[in-house]
Amino acid sequence: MKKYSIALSICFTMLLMSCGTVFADEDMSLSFKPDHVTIGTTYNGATVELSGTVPKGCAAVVRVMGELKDTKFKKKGKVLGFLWMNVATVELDHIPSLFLVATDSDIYGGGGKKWKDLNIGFDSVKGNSDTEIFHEFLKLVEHEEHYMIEDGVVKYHDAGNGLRGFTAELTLPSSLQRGDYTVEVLAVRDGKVVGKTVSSISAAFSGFPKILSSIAFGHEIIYGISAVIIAILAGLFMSMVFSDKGAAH
Amino acid sequence: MWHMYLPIAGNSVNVILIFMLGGLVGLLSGIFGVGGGFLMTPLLIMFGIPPTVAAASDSNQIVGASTSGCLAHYRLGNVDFKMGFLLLIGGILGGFVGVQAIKVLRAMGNADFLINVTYVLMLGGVGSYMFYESLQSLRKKVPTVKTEAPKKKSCYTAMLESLPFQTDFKKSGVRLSLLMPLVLGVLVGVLAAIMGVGGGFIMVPIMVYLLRMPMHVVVGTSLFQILFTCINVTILQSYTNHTVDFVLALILLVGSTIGAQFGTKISKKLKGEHLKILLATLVLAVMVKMLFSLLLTPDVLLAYAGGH
Repeated sequence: MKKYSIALSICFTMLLMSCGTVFADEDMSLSFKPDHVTIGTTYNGATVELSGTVPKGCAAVVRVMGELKDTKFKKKGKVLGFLWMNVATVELDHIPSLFLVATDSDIYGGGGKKWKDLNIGFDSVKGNSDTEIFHEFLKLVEHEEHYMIEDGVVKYHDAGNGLRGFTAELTLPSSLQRGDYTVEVLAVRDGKVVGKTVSSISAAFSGFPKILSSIAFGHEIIYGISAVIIAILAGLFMSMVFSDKGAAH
Repeated sequence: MWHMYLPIAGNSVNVILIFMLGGLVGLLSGIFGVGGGFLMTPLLIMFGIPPTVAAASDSNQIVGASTSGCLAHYRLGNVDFKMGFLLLIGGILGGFVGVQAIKVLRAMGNADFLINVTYVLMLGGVGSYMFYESLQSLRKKVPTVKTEAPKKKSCYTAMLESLPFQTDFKKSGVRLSLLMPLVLGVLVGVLAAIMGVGGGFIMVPIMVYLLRMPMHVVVGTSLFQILFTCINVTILQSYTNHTVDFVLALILLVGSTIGAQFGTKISKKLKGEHLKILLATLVLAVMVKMLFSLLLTPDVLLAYAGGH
């Protein structure tokens, strides 16, 4: 009887493993540095170094996503058959403000069928949006480098204990906004996502950008009048400088 | 290196590049007396600044550039304050009417279409006329013998002389009714509000052709009027839309005030007709660019709502 129960347990475990859906939390890990992005005066994009483990035999896909937003757009269309104008306002609901992906070349394969079947790329956030509108949206955000797939940047090594270690680098854009960003690693095997671990990274203003934005958004009138006064003073100062050199005479 | 993060624009920019952009537009501002908004805003958008931030921050830098340019022209005796104040009062009234008109147009839909078509027609009309007229003047040889009979008054001249409240504008060397700059100021204010610009490139031809002011006084007076228009816009935009990026404006205005000083020097060296033909070329170039943007299929059919 004991033999049967052991055999049954082994069979059940093998069945689960063949389904490829269950991994213990300790099989996957994720860490990254920096864990906080400081947007100071000289910020011009930042590189995040990610590392972690996935179960052996799995590939790792890293995704960094901004908060979900409802965003309105103006859609261009032809008026009178030949003039391109904004003809309608469209809205895309629950779309991440940022979507960066790091993959290995085997999974991505130039965005081919294997990648599409996984449904973890940009199309995974399309929802009920109109296909044509979403396609145009992708053109816009890819141009801004807010949506990017960095193919082949995930590298592997043996982490021991039946785990596969990975490292990757992702570049955050120079137009990064303040806020919290979700960082997740998906473990992929046999064309399916079999595990996932999630963390978050925050971005915040510091130094001069922090002071300036707090005045601009908290003391609008003072900000506006100060901007005018400083502009006038700068104009007068420059006039004086040039006047001394006789430029204005 | 040389990059700076702009918190209101939400992007990092190359300081040297922005400085040079400011210098180029300031140069044009100093030469022609136009604020440069119709050139600077599209250029900033090209360099990744959101349209609403580009337009509002540009107004802020024009305050500095036009202060500098206006002062330089004042030293040269090129600012007609009397005419400038009257145009300004008219412009403020017209701006109010224009803002209301835009509200109605937006409610009706397709306001953008009307704005762009107005741009193309205005720029095309004004630019073509200025170009043609300046070319004719340049081609004219020195008059041979003054034998012609006294010129017959045109209808427009007769109309000008028949208007009440005639007064002398000594700086401009013209005698006109007070109503003329007021009414024309309203007209420019309406158009400027609809088109979302300071109005310099509409104001300059109006001063030259309808108010018959000499070109050098036109430039200084136009800068004087633009200064007040842009002060108003900067404060309003800071308060209502939070779209004035002061750091961006500061970099631009350092470049543009330097550019404006050089522009004023160049303006002094150029003849009125040369100034007119250069401005006409600039206006026509912007018109052609806008026309292409209306006719050619855009790369992306979506744009963020909130700016145009």
